[in-house]
Amino acid sequence: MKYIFFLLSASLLLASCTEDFFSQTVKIDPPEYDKQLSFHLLLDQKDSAIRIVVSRNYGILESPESFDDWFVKGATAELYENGQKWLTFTPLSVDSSFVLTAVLTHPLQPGSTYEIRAAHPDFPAVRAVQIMPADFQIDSARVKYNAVPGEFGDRIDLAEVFFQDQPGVKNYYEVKLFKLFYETRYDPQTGEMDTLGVVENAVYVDGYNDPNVQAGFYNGGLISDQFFDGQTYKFQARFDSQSYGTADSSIVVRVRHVTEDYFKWSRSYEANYEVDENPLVEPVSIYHNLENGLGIFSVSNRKDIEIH
Amino acid sequence: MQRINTFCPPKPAKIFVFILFLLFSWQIRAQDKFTISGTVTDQSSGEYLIGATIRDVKSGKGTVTNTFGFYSLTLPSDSALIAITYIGYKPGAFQFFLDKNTAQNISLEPGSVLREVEIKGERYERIEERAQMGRIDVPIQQIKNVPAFLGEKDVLKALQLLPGVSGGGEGQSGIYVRGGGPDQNLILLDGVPVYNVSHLFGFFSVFNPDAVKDVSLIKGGFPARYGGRLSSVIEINMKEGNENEFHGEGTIGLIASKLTLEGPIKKGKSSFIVSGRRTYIDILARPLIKAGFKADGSDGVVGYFFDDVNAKVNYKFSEKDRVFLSFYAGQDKFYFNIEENDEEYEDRFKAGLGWGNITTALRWNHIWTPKLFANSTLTFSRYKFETSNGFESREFENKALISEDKFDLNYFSGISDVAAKIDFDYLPSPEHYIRFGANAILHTFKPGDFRSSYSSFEAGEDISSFSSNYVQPNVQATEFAAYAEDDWKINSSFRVNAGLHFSGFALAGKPYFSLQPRLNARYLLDGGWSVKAGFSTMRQYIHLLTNETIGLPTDLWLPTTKRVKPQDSWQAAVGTAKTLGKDYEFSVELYYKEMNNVIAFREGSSLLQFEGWEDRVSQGRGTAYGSEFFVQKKTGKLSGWIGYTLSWATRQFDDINFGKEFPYKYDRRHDFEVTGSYKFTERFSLAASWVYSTGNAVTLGNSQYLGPSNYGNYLSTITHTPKRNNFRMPSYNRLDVGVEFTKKKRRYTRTWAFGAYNAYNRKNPFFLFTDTEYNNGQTKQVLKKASLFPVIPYFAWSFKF
Repeated sequence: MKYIFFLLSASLLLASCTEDFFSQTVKIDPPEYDKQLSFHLLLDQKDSAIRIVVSRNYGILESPESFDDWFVKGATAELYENGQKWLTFTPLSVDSSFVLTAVLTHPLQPGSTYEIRAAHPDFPAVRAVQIMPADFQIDSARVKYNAVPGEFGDRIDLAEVFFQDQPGVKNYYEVKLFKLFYETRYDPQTGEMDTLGVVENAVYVDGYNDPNVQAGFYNGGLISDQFFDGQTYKFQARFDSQSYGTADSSIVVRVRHVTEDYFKWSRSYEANYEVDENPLVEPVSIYHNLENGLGIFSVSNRKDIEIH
Repeated sequence: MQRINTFCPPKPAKIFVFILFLLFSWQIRAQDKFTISGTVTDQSSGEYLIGATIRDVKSGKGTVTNTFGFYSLTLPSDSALIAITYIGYKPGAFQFFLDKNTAQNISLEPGSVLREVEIKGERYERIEERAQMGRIDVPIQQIKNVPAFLGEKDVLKALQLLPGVSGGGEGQSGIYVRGGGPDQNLILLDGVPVYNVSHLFGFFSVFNPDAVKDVSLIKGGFPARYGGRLSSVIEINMKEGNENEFHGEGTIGLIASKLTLEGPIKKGKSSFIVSGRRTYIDILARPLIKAGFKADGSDGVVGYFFDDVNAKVNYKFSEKDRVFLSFYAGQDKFYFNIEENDEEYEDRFKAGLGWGNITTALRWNHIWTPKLFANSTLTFSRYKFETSNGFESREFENKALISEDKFDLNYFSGISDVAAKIDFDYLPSPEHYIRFGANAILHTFKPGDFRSSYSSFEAGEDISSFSSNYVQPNVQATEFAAYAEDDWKINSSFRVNAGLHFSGFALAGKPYFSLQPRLNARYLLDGGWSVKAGFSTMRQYIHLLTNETIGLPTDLWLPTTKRVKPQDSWQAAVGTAKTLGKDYEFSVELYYKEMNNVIAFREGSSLLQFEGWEDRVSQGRGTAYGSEFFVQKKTGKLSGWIGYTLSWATRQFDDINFGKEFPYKYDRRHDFEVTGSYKFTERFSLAASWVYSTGNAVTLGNSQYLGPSNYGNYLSTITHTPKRNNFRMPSYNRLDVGVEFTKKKRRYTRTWAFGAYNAYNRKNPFFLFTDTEYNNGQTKQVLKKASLFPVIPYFAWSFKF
């Protein structure tokens, strides 16, 4: 009998060496999902005209036939201030009715509650609530050129911002640096260069070296006051201004007092971007605050300092 | 202000000493009582029998042997009828008049499986009699009966078939007990912790069953003598070696062969055992691999092997003193070298991966008095991991070297321990079994050294080169513990095991202390049922950063620091147990466990980033609860067990999943396993195992939407993941079968083993991935699971003499 088993085992062993045995893959059902509206609305008190692009989600394996299928036409949206309807969004145009716009009649007020509501007959209604963070002051800001060693042994610049944290409450901030670009045109009549406009270019930050600061969306440095509650905080960021055009153009330091929701969204959004489906990196979930929807609604208090 | 250079015992230490005092202060010198003591051994081999029952039939008083076969039974001066029983052995008995302290060593004759087919073992300590909960003893023969992957019988793979224990899945090396992590298991080989128990990326464990005598698993209700890990204690004791005759056994299998030799060095005084094994796929496949490279115009070799060796010697200096020296060394090595040569260029590439353990234990048993036994141990344990790769590239023109590039990268990490401990067993009366002791461990952590160098040369140009070393200095830390426990038979129904474990850890001026109470209680009901309850608190000072995803042994053991706190847990359990019929042990346990400061990588941390580990980890809370049902039959023609676990395990970290609780990756709602072997005749046996478990929880996006691009004013597609570990992989189930044909030859006994792993070719999930399918010009995204092993048959030839 043992010879029968031997032959049986040997034949099975040989069979197991075929490609079908070792490249075993089987289709399985993807995770279920709910159809939801999606948009991102990041407001600060310097905004005057606002817009949202209303889109929808698809299953992880679904592929919309065209890019336009992502967008949801015919949605409505309203913005409430302290429980009272403040603004009704209107479609940008008939063709672009998925873009909803509104004009703010006054700036956002610190301490006020803002609520966004959006709806469409085919999707669950969406809402989110935010409280405008308190006003704050930047004590000072400066840029030290060629102040610190860079990654490759060269000298790079250091931005320093000092601001006062409000004690007794959890505060979150975002600091971004922008280099200003002046769009110019030669005027043959005057023989001089005319300035057509100013463009802000977000500056890539080399590093922070500060456990209070985490990388956020679009080169933002996110700060939680957990370890400096009520104190003057010194923010430092290393960057290379030479990478952004002429040395004599201005640097804008933008500090925003943001909500906890924004802090969580921005941090997770950036981390998710960095992960980029790398299987060797721990997965990152992106934070949302839209009830029954995907995306973020946030309000922030913003201060800019231009450094020449 | 911080006080230094003075030592004031911490509060927990004072409490510990006080309770220790109370524990022993009840002692009143018993009059007219004498003690019978000695060891219980196997008659044929002289091996100590662990857990043998010694009972005075007249009074009903009894005790069990400890890890070194020692027993002590104090009885009133009277005639005594002592019965000795042990599973798999013929019972022994002797009658005498006890009028003085008596030393009596006892040998039991094995109930020969081959001659009698049925193993006798009627009156060992029954499951309902034991106070301790959460403990499972698995006879090594039962482990050897379990059909195994490629025929390689494996201790840990067999333990993974027990309720409350899981192995993560195929291609994963960890062991997960009651919702705990892979670092929370104290795995002891002859009392020495083994840090990495995996061979071949987790498909085998480092324990060679031929050299193992005894295996036990404790997953809750931890007695006070154990500490240092939160979730389990797996105690594996090696054989001592036959002290009467020279014997050997070996196996030639599909991928590995092994050989074990044992025998007396000096009969009745000293014996040895040595056991080794090695895989040889690399050797067998080498000609084929080389030919394959040659066909591609290159010269190369790729291979993998593991080997290990266990050795142990012992010497009996007197009836009261015996010394054991045991040693284990094992390594895994993967290598890949390729070379391409031409008249114009030479290219060489090499890569290697290796890891391994060394453990050594020197143990001294001393019987101080008939009631007091001591075991003193010095141990050494080392685990190291190393990886290297590099290339050399040279270009020639008219045989003259015109350019050269060289690159080398090496990484090392590891941990080593030097430890000393002393354990006492004190048996003042049949009602009390007191254990106390202390230990100290000096840990040396090697958190990881990166060394890389690059040089480049081109004719006519200077040589450019750089080297980069990221060397993290070794970290030394001291861990120490002391304990006392009493297994107290209060009356015929009520028995408790109560104790305290005190531990401490010191690293760079930051001391931690912990006092951990432990309690197990059992109450015997009518009808042979018992109800049990247990409570234990545990503390763990060392942490493991491991890669659970891709099966590489990149284990990095790290200490508790000022920033990274020790892990703590408490566990409570209740249950019932009964021996059904003659030899079916049945138990049900309900447990609840909370773990604090469990460790995990932060979101977005790379698993292959080795520096700055404290910044990349997060500490949080773990909760596990469930119920376990277990039926085990250790004796008879049919032996095996059935286990079922219904459980929940979750984790919560402030900076993972936005602080919300989520299922642990190895949260298994259902886990069912049945394994058994049936011995039809002396020559033929059949064994089978079937397992079913809920799939692992994994993080998988369920939808996609448009979000702002991170670098520009356009929209990009974002994957939405509702929460961590939101998706269940398909369930895991597998049947393994095996048959054995045994024949006694003139000089030896040989066994042919045949079997199949995954007999019905279940495509069990290994990992999930998305793929694009093309059909009639249309593309479609699909989700697929990849499986690792189809049905894999095996055969092996083994011998024993």
